[in-house]
Amino acid sequence: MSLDLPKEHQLRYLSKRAADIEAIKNGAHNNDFEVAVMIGHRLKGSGETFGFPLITTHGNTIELAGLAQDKAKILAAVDLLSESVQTYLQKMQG
Amino acid sequence: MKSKNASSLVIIDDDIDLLELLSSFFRQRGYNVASYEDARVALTDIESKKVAADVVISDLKLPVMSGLDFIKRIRTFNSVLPIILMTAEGSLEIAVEAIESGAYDFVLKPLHVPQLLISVQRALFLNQVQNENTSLKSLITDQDFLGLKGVIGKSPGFKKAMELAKRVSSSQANIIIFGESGSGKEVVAKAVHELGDRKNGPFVAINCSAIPENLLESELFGYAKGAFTGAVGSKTGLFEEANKGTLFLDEIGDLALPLQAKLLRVLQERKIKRIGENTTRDITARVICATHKDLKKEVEKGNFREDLYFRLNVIPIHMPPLRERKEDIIPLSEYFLKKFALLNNANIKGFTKGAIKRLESLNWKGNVRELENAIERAVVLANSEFVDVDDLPGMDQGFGETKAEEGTTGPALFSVNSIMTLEDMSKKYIEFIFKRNGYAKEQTAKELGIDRKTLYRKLKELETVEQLTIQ
Repeated sequence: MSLDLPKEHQLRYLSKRAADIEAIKNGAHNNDFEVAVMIGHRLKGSGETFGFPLITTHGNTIELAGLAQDKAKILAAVDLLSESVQTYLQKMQG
Repeated sequence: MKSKNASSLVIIDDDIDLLELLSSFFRQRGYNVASYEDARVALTDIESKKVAADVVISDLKLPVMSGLDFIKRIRTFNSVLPIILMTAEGSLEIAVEAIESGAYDFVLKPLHVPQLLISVQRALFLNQVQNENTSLKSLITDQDFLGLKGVIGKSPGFKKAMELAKRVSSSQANIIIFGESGSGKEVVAKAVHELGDRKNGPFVAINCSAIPENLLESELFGYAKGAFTGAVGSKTGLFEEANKGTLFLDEIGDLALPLQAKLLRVLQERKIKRIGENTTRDITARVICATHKDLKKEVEKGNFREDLYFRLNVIPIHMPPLRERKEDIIPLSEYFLKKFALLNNANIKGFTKGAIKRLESLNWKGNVRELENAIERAVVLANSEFVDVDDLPGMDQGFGETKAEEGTTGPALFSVNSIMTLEDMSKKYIEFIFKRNGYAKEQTAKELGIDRKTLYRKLKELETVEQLTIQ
């Protein structure tokens, strides 16, 4: 990714992921897999664009798990997503 | 802030983060950006021209209306607007479907934004070429007469000449076109050629006054190898080159007497002999002549053969000078403006009202040719989207003189029977000075002792500087 993004742009992007994580978890617990498909798809498209390739990877996993209606896999991928977001945030703030 | 000359992008994505990122990226690079989360709203705004769009970037997977549906709807009213589709679905089938639906390009998410920028730049270039192509097509098809491209005029004198040209186009009779230099004699000759049954043959034109007599003979008749010193090979003359077509001999009144005799023989016998050859060759070219001279007077003076004059003067067509067909000045000016704006890549949309008055008031001694040169100059010099009086030739630059529409002694400001207000009198006086100066603002402001801005404001009050567009 050769695009030099302003740091605040990236930080804002990361901070908004908490709501996505919450929404996917809630959806999975309620057997609403459409939320995982929709948000996973979006994260797949945006993560690397903002300079966070792991978010793209997890977004792809979440979308596929949502399509397969695999609750366990969704929740596992969301945990990984959450960890990645935290790591990125710490790196940027540190 | 919206930039006037920047390209306009419409970006559609339901991912707000990406929408903000792309909008920010392109705005920083000088683009005007309109962003939408919903393709339906974007579609309505583009169709109603509420938003300008030179290129659209749209996500493929959108709620309610997909990127593909968006393209299909756009194509019902705009067949050329470049649309770049973005998608995280990287399959070949989707890419093919997108292009087949009318997408200009297809980019994959995660986005490589600089790559998207290149795609946008290419799409803009395509858009520019398509727009120029459309303008060029309209230039050669919008304004024509008798279905002839680039033949412009609506005055009775012009119509009479062109209608006569049409009537005689299919006959074999000799035609001579009379008219001042630059009035469009060659346009009439070409019309005769294009409208007649020789239109698929060549149209060959030569100006008889521009070539020395000895060279003109070899140009017209050709020569055999060794016919004279330097004739290392044979040469086909213009009479032969124009076979099955038309030979246009301009300024025939300047043809030397010996050549007049040879031309007369060709017209009578329909045969030529190349210089240095004994054999004759049949010619099938139609000969059309033209002159700015009064040939009858030239005959009386002994400068032109009477027999050739009668031979040529079977069907005379008179093209009036531009000053006698004022109705043609503006259509011609608009045509030339479009032409030179395209050639110079200048964003010129038309003339101010003052410029139109100036164009109509000049005498155009050099006729259409002079007008064309003046418009070319104006297009190059214009500082705004509209050609103004100051961009046009002044009376002191060797161009046509103004016709005195009213006296230069000034309006009757004072009358025993009517008293006007100071404001009305001031307006009347400004109008008078403005007209007297041929609508030149700088000179008017100088004479009135006010600055240009003040003059402009006062003229606006007089409603004399309303801008008119071509269409």
